[in-house]
Amino acid sequence: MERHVQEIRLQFDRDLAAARDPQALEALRVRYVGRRGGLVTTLLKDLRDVAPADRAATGKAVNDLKVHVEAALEAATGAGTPRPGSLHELDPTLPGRAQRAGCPHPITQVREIIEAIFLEMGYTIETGPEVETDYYNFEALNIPAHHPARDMQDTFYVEGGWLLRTHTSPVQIRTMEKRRPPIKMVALGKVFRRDSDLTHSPVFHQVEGLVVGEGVTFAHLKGTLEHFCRRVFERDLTLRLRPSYFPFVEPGAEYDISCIFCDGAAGCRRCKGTGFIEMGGAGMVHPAVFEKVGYDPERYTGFAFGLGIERIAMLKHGIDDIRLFYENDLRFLAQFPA
Amino acid sequence: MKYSHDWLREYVPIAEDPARVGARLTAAGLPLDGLEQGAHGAVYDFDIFPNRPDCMSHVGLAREYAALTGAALSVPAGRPPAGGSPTAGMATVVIEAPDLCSRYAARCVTDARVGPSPAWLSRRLESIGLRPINNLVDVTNFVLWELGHPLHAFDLDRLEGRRIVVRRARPGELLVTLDGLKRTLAADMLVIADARHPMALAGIMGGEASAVTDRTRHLLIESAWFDPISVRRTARALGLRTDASHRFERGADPAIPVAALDRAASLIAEIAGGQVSDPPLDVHPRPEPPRRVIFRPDRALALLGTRIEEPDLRAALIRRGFQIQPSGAAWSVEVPSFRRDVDREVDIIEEVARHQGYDAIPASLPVLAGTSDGRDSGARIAATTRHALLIAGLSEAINYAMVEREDGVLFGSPNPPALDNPLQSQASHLRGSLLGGLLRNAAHNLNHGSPACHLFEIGSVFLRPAGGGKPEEHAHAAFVITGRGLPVHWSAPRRDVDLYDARGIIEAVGDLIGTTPPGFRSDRIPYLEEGRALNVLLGERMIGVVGAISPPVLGRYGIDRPVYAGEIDLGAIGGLPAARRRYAPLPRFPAIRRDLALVLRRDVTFESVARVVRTASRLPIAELLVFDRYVGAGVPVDCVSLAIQVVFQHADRTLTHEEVQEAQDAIVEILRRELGASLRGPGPGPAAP
Repeated sequence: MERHVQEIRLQFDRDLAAARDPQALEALRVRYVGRRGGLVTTLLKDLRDVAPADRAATGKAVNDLKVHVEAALEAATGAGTPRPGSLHELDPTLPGRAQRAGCPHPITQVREIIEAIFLEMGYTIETGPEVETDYYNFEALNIPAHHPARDMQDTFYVEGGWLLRTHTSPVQIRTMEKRRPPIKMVALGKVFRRDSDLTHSPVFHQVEGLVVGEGVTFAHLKGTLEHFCRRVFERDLTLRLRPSYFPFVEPGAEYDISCIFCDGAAGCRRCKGTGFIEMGGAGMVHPAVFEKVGYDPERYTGFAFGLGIERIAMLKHGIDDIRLFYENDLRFLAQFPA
Repeated sequence: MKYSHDWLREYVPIAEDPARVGARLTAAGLPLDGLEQGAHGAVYDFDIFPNRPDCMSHVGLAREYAALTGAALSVPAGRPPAGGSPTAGMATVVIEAPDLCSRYAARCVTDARVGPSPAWLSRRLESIGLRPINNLVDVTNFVLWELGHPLHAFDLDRLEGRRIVVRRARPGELLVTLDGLKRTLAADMLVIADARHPMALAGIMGGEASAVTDRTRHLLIESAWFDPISVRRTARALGLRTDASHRFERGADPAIPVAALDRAASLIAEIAGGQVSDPPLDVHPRPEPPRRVIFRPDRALALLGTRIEEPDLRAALIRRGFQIQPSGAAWSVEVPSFRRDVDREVDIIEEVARHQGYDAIPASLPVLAGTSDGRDSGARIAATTRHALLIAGLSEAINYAMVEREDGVLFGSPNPPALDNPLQSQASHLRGSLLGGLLRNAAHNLNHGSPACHLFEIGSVFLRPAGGGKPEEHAHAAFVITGRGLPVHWSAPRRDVDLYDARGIIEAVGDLIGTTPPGFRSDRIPYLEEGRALNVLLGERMIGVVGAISPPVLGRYGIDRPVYAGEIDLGAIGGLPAARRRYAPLPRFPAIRRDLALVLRRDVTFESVARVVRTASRLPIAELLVFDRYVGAGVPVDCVSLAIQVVFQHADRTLTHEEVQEAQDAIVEILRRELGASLRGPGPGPAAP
């Protein structure tokens, strides 16, 4: 008889799953626990015929089945909630239910894109402190005290003779100090300049890249930047390098990409009609920098490059005011789900 | 810096239009910043980098242009009229500080007539936005913008003893500079003095007392070379920045003083009349020896990754004033005196690369042995934490590291590191917590009508170390939540966030980080509300806090509704061994779930119930969870009903209902004895489906 109980239970579960509307549920109720002729009701009556030794156990099994059927029917019809699956009871145009993920900051998103590109190319990701010493931020980068190049970056000084790093370049020095070539690294992080307007924020984010080894050339710098820029903007584009000056590289360069808005056709507002958009600075590591970290500049050569993460984010998303990144307005952040 | 197209053409033939000139120079490292059509023709604005003071003049820029195009450069030579009396008989020059002034040349002009400048001279100055003053001053300015060398004219009669003494100032000496300010000088400042008093700040600005005026008849013209660092320090110390100091601090040409002097003297004689003394005084205590650099064409190939042919190498250098003595694989290159930026081989390599144009260098990718150990554990923990917080429905904020002092003090950093030169007083110290910034963000969002705010930030905080020294940096993660709780859905009842949301966020982070699960302990935390303030622990280590922001703190940020927040030190997590995720065999025997509805005094915590259940159970417990907590009708006042589910499971056998019932009865009995718990309702039964 217990086997029979089990069969009825399975049959009921199948019937319940197939029921699509209240009428079907009512039919089920009658069929299983109806006062007269219900399958479970009948089983209860049949208990009389069970041997006294088994009666307690079988009774419990049948009772459990009854509780199960009644509870399941009540849950299915109760509280007026239509059962899932009975589609004509639902309004499928209503929004669905799920815990939605929050939005990562657009700076973080661009940062992760950049990290992924360089990790794929076998670079390491290095970090360094935001409060720096004069040595790492300037001196070791061939910018001695009283060098006019210090005017190029307005520095926040922290009491006690420290400073907030003005670029991520100190991480170059820290990495070269703790490792020997070959080195392929990027460092991404906050930098600080005493400057604030529509396109300058006192805090912003930079990427620093450094490759050092035997036989590393300026041509490799060009190839690397070209590959990176194409990947980050997900399109073909032309890279242009122009001579420039940063004391820790020689030859030094600034690099531009063909305008991603007018395809370099030289006719749009974003590139000021030049057909190119400025990206960042780069160059071959200055031998004086190698000497500071004890590398032989005759044996090793290397290149370094930098760029601003905000700038990439602004270009990618068409954002025109850098301060939006630091207001943390949910109406802004919600535009960049990821 | 401004340059007139018309003026440049005096020194080099230019056949192209100004836009092309700008593009050509930009490609060679002299970026064009602007190009305007002025009253006197096209005016360029070039951005001159600090290493190229030699280009800060029309002749200097013309030299670069001539080198790029191959056109001939003609530098004007000044030849003062012959027949003047020797300068030495009219004035004396003494250099007492030869370490800071390696050269001082001078000529006198007697019986000059001060007056307005001729039209051509005024036009030149006006073409680059300068205001003509009088013929004497205008000539010195003209020479500055023509040759790039700053000159100064003194009224000879106002120089006591007609003496020029180049010396360090005496501490406390006073000088009224041409801008009318009285300046107190320090001992390391270089001055041009007469027999008694300072008359000028060397290389920066002249003094009022000896300035050329309408009544000046006799002049002494100075053309000197001053030490860049000395000029820069003095200019900065006095907050003065002039065209002269700008050039001297970048490095003037030590070979040019006499040529510039002669150019100025001859122009003055031509324009203002008078007799020019001759020969000039040229005190030159420290002549600079010629600078030679070894240049190997093969090294250029190795660095650039492309070969530049020898004729191009020679053209690039010779047209820029370098002299070459090739000797096989290594050339000896003499650097012209005006190129202060060139002192090693790599600088020569840049010259030739610049000359060729960077477009001539091909692009390729380096082949280097992979070195990757990817990212460090700190970065991984930050990324994992960010991931957990995003999944929990929080969005990411990024705030400035600079805050008000009070923001530091409020959140447990009584003495935050200060900036020496903040941009504004609201950003004068370094944050010791991320919560101040996040609360400002919450206020901003609530004020803009947002019904809720769920934000987090991951970033550095800065603490003053106990023993002094460099501020310590710690990576923190923090969040604030306020308003409507998540998830938001039309079918879910509206409810506001509470302590459990905040604690759940920390637990969710703990799940992903995979160390031991975080523990919580009530504590008094100054900025959190009493009774809703918890320390977060990993093992016995305090790694952060979570709770309700206290009303006074909310008031400070202008927030009028409850905010729950948490902050953890990611560095402290990084220091702990990460739990290895190891596979455990799946249970082979079924679990039995039992629900217990307990009635407890309100001061009895779930944690104590769980501890008692686990220690009291005779059978192994696989899981213990709460599925309801209820206060109200049917439960005695001061009591709470806590519904828990105990999951019994044995690794080696199937449990029988009887032994589970016995275990359950024993648990209930011990709960009754130890915690005063009773069962609610009809009594224990099988678990709800």
